[in-house]
Amino acid sequence: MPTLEVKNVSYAYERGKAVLQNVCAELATGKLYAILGLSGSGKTTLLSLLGGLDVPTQGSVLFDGEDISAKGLEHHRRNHISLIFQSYNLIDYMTPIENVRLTAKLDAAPILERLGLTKDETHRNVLELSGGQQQRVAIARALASDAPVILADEPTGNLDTDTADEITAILKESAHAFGKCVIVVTHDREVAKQADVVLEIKRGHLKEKEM
Amino acid sequence: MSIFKRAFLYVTRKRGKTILLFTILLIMATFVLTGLSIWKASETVQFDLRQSLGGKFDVFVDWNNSPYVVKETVKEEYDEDTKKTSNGFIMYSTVQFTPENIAAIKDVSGVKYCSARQDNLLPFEGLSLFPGTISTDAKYQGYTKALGVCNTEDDELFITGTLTLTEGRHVSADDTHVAIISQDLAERNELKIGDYLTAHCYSIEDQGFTGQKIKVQIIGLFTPNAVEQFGETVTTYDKIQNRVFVDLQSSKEFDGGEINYGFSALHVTIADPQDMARVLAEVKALPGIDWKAFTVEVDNETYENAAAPLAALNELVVTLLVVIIGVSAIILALILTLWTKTRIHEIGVFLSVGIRKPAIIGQYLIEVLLIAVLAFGLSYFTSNAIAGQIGNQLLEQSMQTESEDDNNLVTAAAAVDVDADNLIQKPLPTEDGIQVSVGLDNLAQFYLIGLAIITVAVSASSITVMRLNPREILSKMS
Ligand SMILES: Nc1ncnc2c1ncn2[C@@H]1O[C@H](COP(=O)(O)OP(=O)(O)O)[C@@H](O)[C@H]1O
Ligand SMILES: [Mg+2]
Repeated sequence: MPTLEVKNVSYAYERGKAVLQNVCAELATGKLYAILGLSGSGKTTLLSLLGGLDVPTQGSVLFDGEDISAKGLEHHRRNHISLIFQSYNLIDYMTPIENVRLTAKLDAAPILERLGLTKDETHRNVLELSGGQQQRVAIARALASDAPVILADEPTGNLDTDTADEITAILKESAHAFGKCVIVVTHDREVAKQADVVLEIKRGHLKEKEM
Repeated sequence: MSIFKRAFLYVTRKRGKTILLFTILLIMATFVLTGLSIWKASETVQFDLRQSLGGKFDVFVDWNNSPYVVKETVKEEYDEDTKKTSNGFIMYSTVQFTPENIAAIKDVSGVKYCSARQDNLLPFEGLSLFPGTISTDAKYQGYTKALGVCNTEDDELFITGTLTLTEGRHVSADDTHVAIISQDLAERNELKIGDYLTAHCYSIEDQGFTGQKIKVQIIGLFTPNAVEQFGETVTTYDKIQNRVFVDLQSSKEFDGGEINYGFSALHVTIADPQDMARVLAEVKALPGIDWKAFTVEVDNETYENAAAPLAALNELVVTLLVVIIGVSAIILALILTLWTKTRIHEIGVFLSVGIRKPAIIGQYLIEVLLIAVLAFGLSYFTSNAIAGQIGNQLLEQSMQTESEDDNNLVTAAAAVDVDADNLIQKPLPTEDGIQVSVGLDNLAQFYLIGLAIITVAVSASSITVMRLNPREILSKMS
């Protein structure tokens, strides 16, 4: 059974101007998904619907076969979802390890170590970390929170190509080794190449794309 | 991670903000606490002042309206000078205050003293008096005033401190045929405690004190604390050193008739002039007093004059306090609102990791409270230092300016009883200096006020957080 299922979802911020139209998708655990699309095509909107930050105008989002609004969107957000943004993912008055411990259900230190941060780095001021290191901490927090779904909105948008590749690799590892359902929104084709499944939003419609 | 840990981390890591907020809270707390202590001190001074002034009211026979007033023609009198015959008459009330009435009034809570006198102008046998400064009617040569009281301790002159008992004891309700005279009069006449004074009762037939012989024993001596000033006019019988206090029984006997069995006027002193209305109501409700016979006259002017400047100061302090509290809350709310706006990404992260809005606002509240606990604690010392300075000045000034303005306060407050009898100047309690200090009770009160200010300010500043829609997190974070 897929972890997340999008069923005939339509969304419009304003009446008559649909951003998403009749979108269907099945998103399973252990896989890295990439959602491609031009700027303004509705990627972030779709992500917010998957994450339970908003409700579709039509259709529904299911988690493990149950409508996410059944137990409340907050329940869905707290228990099933981890969000990673393009930047500002970390609380600046907490060290990296404290940032991970913010919601950790698992031991933070080994996860941080596995994602390539030294012990010294985990106790540093987060503002002294590079962009790539900051994203590693954000991914570590998602992993430590033990949520089954990781939603990332342009996580490599602020990074140089090499670092972006590293982060993409880590996201891939999160799906394959940690068994998460990782959904990455991006307009970067390099990221998409690493994904198990690539979806593209065009004029409100979501289509699987062969790379 | 717990909400407390988050708040603690914020406060300890964002030192610049913490120090700034600490300073702001310290200044606010110092202001409020200083105001609070000045307010308290002014309340205390007012209370002390009221206590020292007391309040007074007189109850006396309503000569115009009482149905019990009797007017009796006594005898035709022929006046040698005017060559006219006039009808002498006496006026009295058949209803008078009894010693029991006085005791009942004294028992009303808030009543300090209830004094009543019968007075007779009469000659004592062989008693040499101090001469007055103006001559008296030939008829009253050698006469002095004998005041008949239930007990001397409650008498006007003693309670106001004009007279002090220096030897022997006071006249009490159970005494008969006793007297208290002045030390000076005793020396002049070589009298001592245990000696007797002799007088005759009034004879209506003779129209003079020619009746039965009455002896009263001297049981105490008093000393006046002030005598009439030089140049002041006083008759022999009004001179304070010539005064004779006797028990009610003796006084009635001097009077001769059956008419005056009690008192036609009472003088009541109450502890707190603010209680005037209540005490009056309770006195009027006492059983055994026929109010058709009496009328009441309240003298609360002294209190009102003396208390006015302090009441004005009190009002000012309270107003200031309210303004300071209000302004503090507004300033704090504005600062916190500004800071909350800079924390929008943090809010986004918290919301995205599933921390609920109340927990975020709760963290802000705890942060401010953590700093406030320290700032308020320190403000105890800063406000104590300031309150001692400003407070004293403020209170003293308010009393001084007022007394300079109309020169009323000190005289009004000091001459507690402005009477021919009463020449004593009582100092105001406040002249010993007003103690303005911040007590621990003020601090405790202030913690409550501070908590309210902070809660209001944090709530107001958190509107941004409360309004934040989850969907906006993503757009704000990108
Ligand atoms: N809060 C909003 N209110 C109205 N329109 C919005 C809002 N957010 C996004 N949109 C519009 O919806 C469309 C899709 O936006 P978005 O999902 O953010 O695109 P993407 O993430 O692919 O760049 C855009 O045309 C955008 O202007
Ligand atoms: Mg977007």
